[in-house]
Amino acid sequence: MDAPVEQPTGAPTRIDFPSSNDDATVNAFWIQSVQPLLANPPAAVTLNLSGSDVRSLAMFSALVAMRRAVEKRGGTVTILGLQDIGKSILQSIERRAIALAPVPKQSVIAQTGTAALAALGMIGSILRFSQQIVVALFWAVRHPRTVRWRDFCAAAASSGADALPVTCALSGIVGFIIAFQTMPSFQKFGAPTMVGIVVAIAMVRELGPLISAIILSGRSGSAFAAELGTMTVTNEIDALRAMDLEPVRFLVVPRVLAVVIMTPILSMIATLSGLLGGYLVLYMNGISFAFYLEQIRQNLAPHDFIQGVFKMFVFALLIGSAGCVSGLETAQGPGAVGRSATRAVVSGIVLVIVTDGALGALFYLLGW
Amino acid sequence: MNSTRPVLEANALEIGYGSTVIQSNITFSVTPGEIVCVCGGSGCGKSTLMRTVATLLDPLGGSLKIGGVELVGSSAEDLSVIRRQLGVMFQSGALFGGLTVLENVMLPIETHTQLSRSVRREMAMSLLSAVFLEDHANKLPSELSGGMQKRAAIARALSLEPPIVLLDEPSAGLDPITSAELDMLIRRLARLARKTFLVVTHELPSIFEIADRIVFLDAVERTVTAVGPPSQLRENGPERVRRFLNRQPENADKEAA
Repeated sequence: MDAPVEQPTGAPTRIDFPSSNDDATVNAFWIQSVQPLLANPPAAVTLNLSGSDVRSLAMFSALVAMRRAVEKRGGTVTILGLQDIGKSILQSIERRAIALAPVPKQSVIAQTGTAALAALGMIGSILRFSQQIVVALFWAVRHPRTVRWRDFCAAAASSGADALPVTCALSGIVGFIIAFQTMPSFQKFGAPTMVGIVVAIAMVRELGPLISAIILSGRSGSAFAAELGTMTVTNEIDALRAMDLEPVRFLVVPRVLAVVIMTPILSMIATLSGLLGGYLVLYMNGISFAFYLEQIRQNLAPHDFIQGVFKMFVFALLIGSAGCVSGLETAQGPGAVGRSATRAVVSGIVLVIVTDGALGALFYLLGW
Repeated sequence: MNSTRPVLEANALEIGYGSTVIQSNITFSVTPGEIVCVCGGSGCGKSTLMRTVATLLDPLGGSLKIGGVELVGSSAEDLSVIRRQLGVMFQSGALFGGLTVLENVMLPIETHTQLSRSVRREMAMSLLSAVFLEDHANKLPSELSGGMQKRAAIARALSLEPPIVLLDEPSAGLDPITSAELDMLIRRLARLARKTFLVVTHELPSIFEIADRIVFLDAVERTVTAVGPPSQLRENGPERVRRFLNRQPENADKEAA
């Protein structure tokens, strides 16, 4: 047998495989001999398998891992006492070693960048589809007979009526919270009646539409992505294309149309509910409902309401499109539909908030 | 080739996904009324060819004429013309889950013709009776067995009376009896309706039962290595084609490689 020469690396250069295969021995062998070698592979190593049974998967994996680690750094491996069966398995594994080579791991910065690019990519696809969607929407308005009204009704019911309870409850609570949190500060200045104006402006111009949009994204955006994603996975989208039916016209238009028509109404009701939620706090502070209404009437102009409804219209367009586009761009595989739904919700909410900021700036500049 | 003009003509066709070429030199033609099976081992590009002919995947090069119209570099109008020549059945059936079987079959008629509702309904019902599904017309696809779904998908593929019908692995996942019934159905439809069928399959019994000719896509040489009647190729074809049609694997060592 070759006498092993000590190397300065510190890792053992001769490893004797144990003869027993029970779990305790394997664990001890792995911790004492295999891991140190993998962590710091020596330039040359002798692996002595005499007396051990390589038909044990644990032992064989140790052999393969150590050999790969040493050879990767350009070292030499001498294997002693390997049975014939082991040699042939080792050879067949060698041929596949390239396929098993580990994927280079990305740094955190690179991962963040990749994720950011993916999010941008989604916005890119929405923009790419948006032209198609807008053309199809105009076409649908001019040729209402071609719209699939059954899909429209289903989408309208689920994004409108079915979403009403949760949207109203949430925006009522948000209205309450705003009033509740601002009340102490205004009381300090002796102006608790001002809270009503704060609630009204916040709910009508911002939060009514925003809360409706976030719920729409979570309920309908994800549902559209999952529906169309499943259709993509089961080739139904392909079947439509092969029948010369454009999926955008056939599937996206009724859904987007439904949310665009239904959710501004939903958002108005949500706003009302928020105003009532806010009034609860005012009521506890002895402010009458008639006074609250008068305050709203004096401090809010019709264009404030129009602004809120217009925002919701834009949000619905974005969320509906993001959901559908995400569904149509579903990859293959068991996790693909889930990923599409996630992407629809995340990109929908990002788009909504970015657009909200942009619209806010625009309205400010226009002096509305 | 006799005097009838081919309905499907591939010339040095190159297919694949993006930059991945899967088959680089596909040349064959199909005459009206013929049943041609595309076969070959796993990964040879059968399904890719099917998706390309179904106009769902752009060819990478060469020429593909469907009903006399060139697909490579076609305009949107040409693409529409080509698609109207084709009826496609996907491997999974790809029926629309939210619609009943009858509505599935009526859908293409509804969107591409001005026919009245009762006419559309009768057309769809007669197609369903041709595939023995008239009793299941009002069920949802999920309520049907796998074989029934494929028959419904064939009915839908035939609904616009396309001259060319593409079937992607019609017998995949079916038991031998159901698969044999489907083969009989395909033969019957080809004879009765004078349709041209391009069938992707690797089921040998199906190939010998239905195919007038086969196109063999070779996974190793990445090109068509044989075109001809299956019984003839089984005796005199190139080596890999003979082995495929006779179910003879290469020796175990090469197979592992």
